[in-house]
Amino acid sequence: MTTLTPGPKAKPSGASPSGPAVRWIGVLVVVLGCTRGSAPPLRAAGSPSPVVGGTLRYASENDVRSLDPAVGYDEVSAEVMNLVFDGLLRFDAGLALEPALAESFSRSEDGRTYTFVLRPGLRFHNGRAVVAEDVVQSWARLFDPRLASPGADFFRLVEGAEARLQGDPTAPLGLSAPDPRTVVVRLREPDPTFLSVVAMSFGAVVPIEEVEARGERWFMEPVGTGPFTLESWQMGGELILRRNPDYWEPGLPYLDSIVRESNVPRDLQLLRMEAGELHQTYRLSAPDYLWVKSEPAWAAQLLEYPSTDTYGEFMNTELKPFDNVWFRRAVSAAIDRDKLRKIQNGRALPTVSWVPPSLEGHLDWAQLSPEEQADLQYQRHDPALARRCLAEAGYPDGYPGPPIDYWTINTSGALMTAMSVQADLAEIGVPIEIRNTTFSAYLSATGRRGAVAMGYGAWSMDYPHQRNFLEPRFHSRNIADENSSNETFFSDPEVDAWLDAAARSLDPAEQTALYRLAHRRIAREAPYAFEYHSLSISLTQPALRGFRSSSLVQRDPRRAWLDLPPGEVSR
Amino acid sequence: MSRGLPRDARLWVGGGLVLGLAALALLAPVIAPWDPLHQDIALGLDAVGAPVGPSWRHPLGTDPLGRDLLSRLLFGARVSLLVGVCATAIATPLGLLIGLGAGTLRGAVDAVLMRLTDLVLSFPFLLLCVALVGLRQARGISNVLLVLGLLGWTTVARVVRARALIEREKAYVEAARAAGFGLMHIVFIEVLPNVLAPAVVLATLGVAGAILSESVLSYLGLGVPPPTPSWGGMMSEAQPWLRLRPLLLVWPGAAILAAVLGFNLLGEGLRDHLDPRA
Repeated sequence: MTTLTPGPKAKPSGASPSGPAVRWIGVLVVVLGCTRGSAPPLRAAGSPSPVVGGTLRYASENDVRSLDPAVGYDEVSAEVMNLVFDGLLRFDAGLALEPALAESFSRSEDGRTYTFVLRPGLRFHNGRAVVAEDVVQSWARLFDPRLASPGADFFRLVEGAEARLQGDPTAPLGLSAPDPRTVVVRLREPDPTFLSVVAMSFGAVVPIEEVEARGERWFMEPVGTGPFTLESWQMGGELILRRNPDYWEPGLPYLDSIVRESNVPRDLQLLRMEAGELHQTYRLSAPDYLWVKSEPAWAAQLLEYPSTDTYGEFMNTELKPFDNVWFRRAVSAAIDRDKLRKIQNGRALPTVSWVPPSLEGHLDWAQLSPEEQADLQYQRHDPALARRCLAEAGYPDGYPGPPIDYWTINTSGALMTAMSVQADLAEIGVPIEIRNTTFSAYLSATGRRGAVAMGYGAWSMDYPHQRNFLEPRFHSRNIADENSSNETFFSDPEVDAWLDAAARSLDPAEQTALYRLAHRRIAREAPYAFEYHSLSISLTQPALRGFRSSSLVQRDPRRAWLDLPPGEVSR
Repeated sequence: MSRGLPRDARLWVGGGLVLGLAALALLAPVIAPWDPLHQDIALGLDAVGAPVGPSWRHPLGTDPLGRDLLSRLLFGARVSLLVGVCATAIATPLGLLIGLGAGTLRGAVDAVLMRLTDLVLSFPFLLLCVALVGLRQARGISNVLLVLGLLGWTTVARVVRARALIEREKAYVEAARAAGFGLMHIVFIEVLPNVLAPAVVLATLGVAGAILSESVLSYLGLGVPPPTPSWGGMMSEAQPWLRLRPLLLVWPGAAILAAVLGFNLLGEGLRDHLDPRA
């Protein structure tokens, strides 16, 4: 660990560590800190099999924005939509695709036609049977330009989608329902990630007559096929879900109802967990997180798992001095990833990979071949290597300045990262000046060509596939003069070719190999310093069983049940 | 506790505390071991990023951003004393003027001024502060001391008016009037010196009140904006850490206690000397 600045200006004087003052302080600490060992109040009764019934209660700082699956695109809305709606496919806890409303699906030889067969006997919450035409109409909604669905872009490869989005409501779509249980989708070109897109919440199947009947109120009175129906939603207050007795998965759900409260601050959520009023919480504040970790009975109830995101520092390859690959490598190798982990209270996973660990294509340093390690060495903290790279870049005595503008957002976490990076770079003689701005100012500046040399950057997934990580940031097609998704303006014809070939490839092994080539090259060219994946947490009462948390759906009670003594389940 | 202290002791203890705090505040740039804004990420936070306890490097430990607590306390003293003294410097003359005007002029002037005083007093003080601070767009020290000053004059006005009512009936005032002196002379040369003593006492106590109010406003996030250290702001930042790092709350709390106690003792001591009847 390096020292950041010159040490104390003056030697502090005072009582020696064993002096009476220190002893009194010690007593005070003991008295104040002597909270009795705390344990989660809702203990498990120990039932061997899931118990049916009971009400699950949890709270959130935020309210749901929209329960229209064509519109809702934030994780809070997604959490509730996941319980009310189903798509043809979905992701299991390990982010692998599994059939949901579709019983089976197949892809044609040319990779452009997908055929889905619905399960028999599916019903919407309103009692009507689900037919293939519902899928066609649900997805066609995404292309209504008046709706401006953020999901349209993901389904853009469906034939006719572009024309519909351009405002031609009669353009023929590549969606059809040859019989009540079969859906056929035609794409303009092969897209092996299309099945992942189908599993996004945008692919949910809705009864179009309810959408039309409810009009403006549809987003708050949803009707789907999911395990729970919406009973009531008081905006800013409680949202209550009730068991769907006609749900298609046999035996599910176990819970009678779910009560989700909004606008409950995170520290209050923990206090209410301690009082036994809530069953689960997440997003603890730093001190609460450290407290939970320090209480063995609570720590045992803490689940920590990597989020599907990657954080780092981007470097604009078109601007000096970052147009020099050695300079970029020097900066990347100078950054102490372990220190970043520390200032995040350990809730960060240092990485050499742009693709997060839960996805295919993640690169784990310990498992790389020596040649691969040679490519990825610049993505690890190595001050000696950083100095060599800096010398190679033509600055053996450090970068003379003026200080490089470093853009970040004005949240305390981002600011802490910035100051840590600033100190690391000062160590090898590269001065930077921190410009902290609002998120929107940051977004528009960093997306403008030639505007920002360096800054804090991150990517979190839209759908669980490495393509969704590598393409948006590093394909030259995503360079634009404004709102450039490729914020490093990195352009490498070979990387482009590998990414394009991989995106079209229908052979999984070939696809993986191509993405790996591109990933290695990007790491070696270092337009980004890859730093860490963030860790998510979930804290549950022991009595809450079967509750799942994944980077895709942070709270998934689809299979949850309450293991309480029989009298208390119905409480 | 002050009841048990002899009169002189109150004056000396209070005066000592106030002078000591003033000296620490003035000398903060010289005696503070660190820049109060510097974040010592490497050694000011432990392995999991929590603030560290007292050590030679950080005598009182660090705050959740790795900043030196002692240095922040010392610089925070400047904010507290500045706000306390300046707010009182605005409130006391204002209260004196209003009280003198009401007490010596009587009649309609008295009625209007005293109803205004009642009006200000009838609002919950903190609520009014929050509203006024929130109304003004700019946040900062000047904003806080202005609001506290403009709201803090009522007690002084009440007490000064009551005293002026007594003084204006006294023989020396009548003599001055008979000698043909004008209203201004009577109010400022004859009456004012005789009502000054309780005003000085109230001003001293007012500093304590203003320091407390500033800390409350900063605690609520309406006071001095970060990163400038202030005691109330430090308590606010420390609150989530109460369970893990109670000392974070103890230091600024003790500082506020010392300042308020100091000014209160000083005020009581002054009262005993200047105004033995009270």
